[in-house]
Amino acid sequence: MIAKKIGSNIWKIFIFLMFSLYAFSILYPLAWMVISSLKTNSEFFTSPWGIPAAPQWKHYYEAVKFGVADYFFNSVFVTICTVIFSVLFSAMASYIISRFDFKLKNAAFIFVLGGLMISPEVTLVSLFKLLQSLHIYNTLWALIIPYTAFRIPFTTFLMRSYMLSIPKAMEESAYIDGCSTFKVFSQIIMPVCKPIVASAALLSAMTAWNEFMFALVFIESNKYKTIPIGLTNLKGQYGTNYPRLMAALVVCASVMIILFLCFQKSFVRGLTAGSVKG
Amino acid sequence: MKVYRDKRIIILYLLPVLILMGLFVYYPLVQSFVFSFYKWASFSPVKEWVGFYNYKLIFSDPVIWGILKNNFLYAFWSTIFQAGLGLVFAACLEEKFMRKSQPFFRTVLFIPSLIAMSVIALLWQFMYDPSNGLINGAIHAIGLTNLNPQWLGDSKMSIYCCIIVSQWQYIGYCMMLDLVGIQKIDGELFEAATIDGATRPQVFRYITFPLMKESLLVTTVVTILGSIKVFTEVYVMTVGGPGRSSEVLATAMYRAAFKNDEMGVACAYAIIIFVLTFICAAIQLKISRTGQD
Amino acid sequence: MKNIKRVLAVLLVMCMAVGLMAGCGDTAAPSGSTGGTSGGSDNSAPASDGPINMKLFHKFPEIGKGLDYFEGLADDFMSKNPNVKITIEAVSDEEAKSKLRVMMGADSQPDVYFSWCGEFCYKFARAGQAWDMTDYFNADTEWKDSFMAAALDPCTLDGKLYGIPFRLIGKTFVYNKAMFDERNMKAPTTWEELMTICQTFKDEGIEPIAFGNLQPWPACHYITGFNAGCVPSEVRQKDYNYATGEFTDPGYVTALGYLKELGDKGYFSNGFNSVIHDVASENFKIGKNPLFYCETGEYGGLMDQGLEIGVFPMPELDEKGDKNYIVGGPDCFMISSKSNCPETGMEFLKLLTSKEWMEKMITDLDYPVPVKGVLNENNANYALVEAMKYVEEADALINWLDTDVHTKVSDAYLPAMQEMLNGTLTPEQVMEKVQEAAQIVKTEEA
Repeated sequence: MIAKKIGSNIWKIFIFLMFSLYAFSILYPLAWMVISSLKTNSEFFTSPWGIPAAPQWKHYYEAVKFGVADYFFNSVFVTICTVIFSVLFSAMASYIISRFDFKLKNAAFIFVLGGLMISPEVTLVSLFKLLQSLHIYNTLWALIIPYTAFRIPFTTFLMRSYMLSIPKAMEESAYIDGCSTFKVFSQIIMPVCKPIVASAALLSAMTAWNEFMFALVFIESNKYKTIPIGLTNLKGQYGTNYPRLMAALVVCASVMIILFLCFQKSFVRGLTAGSVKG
Repeated sequence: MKVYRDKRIIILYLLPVLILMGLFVYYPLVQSFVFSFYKWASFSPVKEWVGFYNYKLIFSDPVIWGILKNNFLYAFWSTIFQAGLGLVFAACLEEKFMRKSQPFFRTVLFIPSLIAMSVIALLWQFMYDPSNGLINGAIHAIGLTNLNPQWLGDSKMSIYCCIIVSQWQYIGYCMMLDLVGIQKIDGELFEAATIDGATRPQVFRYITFPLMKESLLVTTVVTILGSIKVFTEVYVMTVGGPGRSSEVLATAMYRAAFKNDEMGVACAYAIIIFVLTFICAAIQLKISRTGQD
Repeated sequence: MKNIKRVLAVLLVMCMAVGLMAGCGDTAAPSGSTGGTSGGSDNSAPASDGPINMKLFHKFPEIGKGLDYFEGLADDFMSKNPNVKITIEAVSDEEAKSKLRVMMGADSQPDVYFSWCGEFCYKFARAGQAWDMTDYFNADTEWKDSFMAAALDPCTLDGKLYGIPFRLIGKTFVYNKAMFDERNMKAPTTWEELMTICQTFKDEGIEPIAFGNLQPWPACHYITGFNAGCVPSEVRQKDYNYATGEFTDPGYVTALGYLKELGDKGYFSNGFNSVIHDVASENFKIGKNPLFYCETGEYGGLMDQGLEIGVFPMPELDEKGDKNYIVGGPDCFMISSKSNCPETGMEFLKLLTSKEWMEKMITDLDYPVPVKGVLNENNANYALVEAMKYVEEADALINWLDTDVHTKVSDAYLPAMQEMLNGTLTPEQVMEKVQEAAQIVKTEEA
């Protein structure tokens, strides 16, 4: 009995150590990113793992001024719209696919899932022409709509699997009480799905925030460009100021990290709320 | 219940998804399929019908087997690490003794997937750098000074270097998806099992694992399909090199489309990607018998 | 009650759909003219009194450098031609290649666009996407004569001019002056001298040549020169032409041998296939490697921290090919054949290549220019002046291999060279791959 106890404690320590090691392997490079952004370009190359002699805070100023500021609103707008549309439409579709009975149910599921199988790179030319004929090329919608369309398959897949495991009892009694589908969907299903909605929203936000290829090809005017494209302003043709670029990337990434920190309470249970007994 | 058969509701709720996907996902796909039988360059108006020539061209080049092997390696290791280890990590974090540190670990582990691939690639290029890099620095520090692995520059290692980076970036992502699922499981089940004397691995095997079936399906499907489509990681880290040693389907497609001006070949690659992913997804859905109680 | 909710739901979805479309319509209005097949600008009467909208596409988006330069140029042009409105799009190097192709694929290419010379430019010309500039250019003899002849060749296909060169890049070795002076070394003039210098550094434990070949174009620049030195000129020209390419001359293997020699003897920096060119450039800059084979446009960046550099051309090889040549080539601007205002575009390019703006390009961007008599000690750094001397004295300017041969051939060539340097392929095997690719291209294009 005691041996078993010690054994299990060793396991616990081992697991904890593994996680700590893994966390270190993530935190160290992240710290490196921040430290590097404060170096001069030659320090960056001569001592890539050292500490800067005099921190170059101006990199942050320049990075924000040239690469981020003008594009910030576009990125935020595109991200928010993508998140709202993709989550809403996917939730509607997954509700139907997970609950309703109809002949083409599996076909509909496969149809949506099929979107996961397409590489966006090759659709560039077709999409470009399509966006032009819809007269939305070179507008923010030229990003929002394709992003939404390409986010739907994954989001629907995710939400469907979550909804499948929600007991039907609650909504069935609501229907018996005469509630409409809309009411059941918006007031019973969506609140129960809050954790998965939050994760789906975060993942969609992530893609929309970092996406490069569509943003490059579907936008022409400077006033509609998003941050990932803006960052190319900081790349030189001959020799790039890497620390400055790094500073911009840190700024760009921290927005997502902050968003994640705000969001995570709602999709992963906090320490106290509803913790597992025992 | 009758409401679950209401055609109007079904159509209404599915409509936005059908329209958006039909127009922006399937229409280009069908076009790619048709255009894969033509020889054409993106900048030229001329399209010449060549039948299966583009497919023949792809499969007559021995490089394709290396490409498929790389994609397979990607899928294999990603499934083990992201889908498999991700679930184990999630289960570990849900253990009582890890509860306190869970918020810290789940946050840290998730962070890499929040960062744009271009940063990650730059970061790892420096880690892998044979003369200044951290990894070779560590190897030399422990006394193996005559070892000088070239990592990204070595034909045998380059694809594994890319795979490692992907795992590093996405284990936390899958773990997070699994956490959301695990926390939905009724805690009393675990409690009852523990009282009955089940060991932790047994609890995982007989309670967590079966109840996480749908969640696991999501992560495996997403990682496998993601591995077949993988592009950015490889493109920014090695551009498919040295030689063609780390080339994957999507980078070969991009090369054909935007370097070699063979849009027909690129479309053929896209169709190959689609067929492969479709087969994988179909097998997985079949095995999992998803949606059935 | 139930029905009202359902109606509400329908309305919600419809509103969203309509909202999407309406939003699109509104915001799209200003750019509507750019869509479809109507081409770049609204007015059909070229160079008339009506307003002319001209779109310019270039690949210099860096703030404070190229971006500002071209904005200044456009402003200058617009103030001189008040009826012209120029919109600029700037996209960085690698991205420019894909974006340009997609735009052309959708028939909405910009009126004036950046292009690499050689095959890249010819490809567009053959597809009927490039405006034939010959007559307009020849009409202004003074303008025409201001260019170096070598710069115009790579923009000319079948006697027709399709691009106006605005930058002329040469490739030379640069060396760290301090490191050379310490050892009483002089710039080498022969291959043997270069080898001796490399060996001396290597014996001291210093990796001689900074080299970053993760993206495989730097090796391609070496082989561009070696091919020119080892393969007779006529043979090379025949092979570089996609319709007649064979690549069977033994000179190609010899050329690869020179590159392999540098690699095998350990004269390249450690891990060259795992690092990008930028890293190599920085390693040279901080004095880690004394030698670097780089483009003249890079000098400015190398010297901005006060590093003293010397310049020498790649030594001549004692082989069957050309003598006294420099590897390099111009970059140009082309005009779309769909443009409604090609003459305005030409006038714009005339302003770009005017003495005033060419001088500004040298002072602001450190780029050497293809216009005669502009670059001198007063506006350019000493290394650039020295290098341009070599370029002007050279009998031939050898265009970059990767833009000179068919893309499929270069796509076989470049990765295979990485493998050769890694020791997984022999030079003969590299050439076999190239020959195969050339054969496929020949049958496909026939």
